[in-house]
Amino acid sequence: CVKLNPDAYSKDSIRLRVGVADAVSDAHIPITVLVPVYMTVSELKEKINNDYGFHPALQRWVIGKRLAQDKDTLYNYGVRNHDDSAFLFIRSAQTAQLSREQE
Amino acid sequence: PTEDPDLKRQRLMKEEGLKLIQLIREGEKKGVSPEEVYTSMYVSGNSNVMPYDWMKAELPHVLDEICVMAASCQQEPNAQSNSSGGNDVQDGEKSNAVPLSRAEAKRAWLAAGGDNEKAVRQALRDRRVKVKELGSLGFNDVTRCEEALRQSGGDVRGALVLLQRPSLEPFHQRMWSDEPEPPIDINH
Repeated sequence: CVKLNPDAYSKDSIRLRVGVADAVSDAHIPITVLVPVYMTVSELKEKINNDYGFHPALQRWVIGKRLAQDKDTLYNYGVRNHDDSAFLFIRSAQTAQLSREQE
Repeated sequence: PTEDPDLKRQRLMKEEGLKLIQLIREGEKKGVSPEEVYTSMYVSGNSNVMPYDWMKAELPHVLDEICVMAASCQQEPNAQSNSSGGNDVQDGEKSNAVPLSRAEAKRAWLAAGGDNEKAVRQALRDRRVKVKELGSLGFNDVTRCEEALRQSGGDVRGALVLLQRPSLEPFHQRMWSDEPEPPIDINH
């Protein structure tokens, strides 16, 4: 896991508006995260896990029309400015297991 | 009124994200993973067909096609020649290649973002890596390992169980045998 230099961190950090959803929710719950645009999706998952306790394996990030991949950065998906938006879909552990079995 | 370009970008970003989230939500309810929804959506390239419906109707054919393409690659000697690299090469450069299972094809198809040719290469590469892993656990018969992987859908742990089961078979036979149990020594 990469440790971020705190200076670089604060300099490039933006307010990312995140809508959190799962299969059951009708609407998404808005939260804001302060993140550098060069953060990778996998680092973001780790951060969300630390802050809110959602296991990284159950997080799926949607940015624009794309399902984000761990190795890419937010910047790769077009995140640039304050108030850009992303969505966090939280899978249920049970369904995640189920679809693994169906493979 | 002209919309500020950055605001327009942000509006689109949000709308498109929401659309995809909605599809993922539907998929999750039906036991389809977000990756499957996303890749199906990308491949079907058609907003009239729901990714889930496309998956049910078309994906099996796509996976079969990948298996066929892989089989033709497996028959080319070059594709296999660098795969052994290990200690026992007794069955020569051309082993009787075990075909891919649909499950292996599907993993590779998802990993390749729905690109069939990439998926073929990915699937064959995955096979080699996993055969090597099983080899490092002491299973050096490549064909047997490939067959176990085919049956387990590419799952190494499952393949390992399949490979080890025969060696435990004698215990099963003894377990049900009619021979009397050794007497119990109550002093020890």
